Amino acid sequence: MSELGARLWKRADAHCIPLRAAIEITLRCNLRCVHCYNFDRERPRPPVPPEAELSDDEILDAIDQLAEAGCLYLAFTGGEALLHPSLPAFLERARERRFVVRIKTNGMLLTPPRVRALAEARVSAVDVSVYGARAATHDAVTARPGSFERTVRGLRHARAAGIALKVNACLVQENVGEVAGMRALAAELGAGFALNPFLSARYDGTRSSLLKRVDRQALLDLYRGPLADVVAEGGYVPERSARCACARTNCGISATGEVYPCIGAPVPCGNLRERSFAEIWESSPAMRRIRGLRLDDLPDCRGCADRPFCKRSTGTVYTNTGDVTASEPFFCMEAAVTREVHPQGAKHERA
Amino acid sequence: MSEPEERKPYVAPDWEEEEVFEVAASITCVQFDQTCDPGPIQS
Repeated sequence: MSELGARLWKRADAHCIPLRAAIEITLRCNLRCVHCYNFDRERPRPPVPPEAELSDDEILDAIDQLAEAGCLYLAFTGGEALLHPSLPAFLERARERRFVVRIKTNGMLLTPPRVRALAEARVSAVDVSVYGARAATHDAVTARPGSFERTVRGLRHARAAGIALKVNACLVQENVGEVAGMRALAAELGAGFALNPFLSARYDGTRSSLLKRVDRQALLDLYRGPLADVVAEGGYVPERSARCACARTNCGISATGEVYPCIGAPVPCGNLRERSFAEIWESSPAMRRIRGLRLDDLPDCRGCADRPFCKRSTGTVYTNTGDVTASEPFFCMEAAVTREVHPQGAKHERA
Repeated sequence: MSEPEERKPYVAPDWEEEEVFEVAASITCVQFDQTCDPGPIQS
């Protein structure tokens, strides 16, 4: 990142400017992923009826309010964002307000006309969820036969249109043996690749998504094998604090207008149907509490030898435990595994 | 829990004056996600 870019983020963190926002424009989706954090997609009805979701005007107003608050990066997410019929209008407004825009999608609807429209709207990047290197694996996770083929086709259409791509994968038991293949697919498409092993409980309170997490041995094999290079390259911050981007430079807006410290942290802070974004961002007690978290506030973490290797996320910890200051066993296990395989790990042996 | 003592209205930055839009747009996807510390495992 350039020096100016680094200064921008440093300033945003110091002054708690919500530089990055994600708006969940709908909870509707054309997949039924087993690990979905929105809600249990096997239930006959979603917890939020479609008519309770933000209207087009409310979403446009949210975009304006974010711009006025100093937000520069805007992601449209879902559900499946490409299912929203008014996405082109949202993109137009975002362009008028000079946002750097990304779309988070499962890629199924990235048809040639749609990718042309996204390119014309100057979308900066599209993040596509991929859950396997083989159709059988991906389709088992999405519970939709044929979804892998459509997603990969969509990725290729987007690539052909010159759109920057990133492949986002969640690590689940089904795909733990295909990480190298997913990385190879991303590389072939000229896409970035990110793997998230930290699954969340669902926002509807159900927890079966967590049953899909991999065990310690599987993670160890992965970190010693297909991910050894990236784990060695990153994953070590000697003086890691409790601070994350939640409520400092990050915020999220749910499909019903709830303002969150991050789209991955469904902490109730206020609703856009009742208060302005700026008021919630500045005054919500929950927002202020998360913003001010220090290592001393995390009783299980402050003396932990694995802390330099820990990727603890306030949002996921909150979602899985209901407490932003708690420890979460999967993060602790992942940090211990990272320490075990990391070149710097020997310096941090447990007492 | 630590919390700032003063409660002032949120004052947004004046990006127009600082011409930050080009800088913001120049950050790549991977660099962008690295600003979310701790972020996902990336390559």
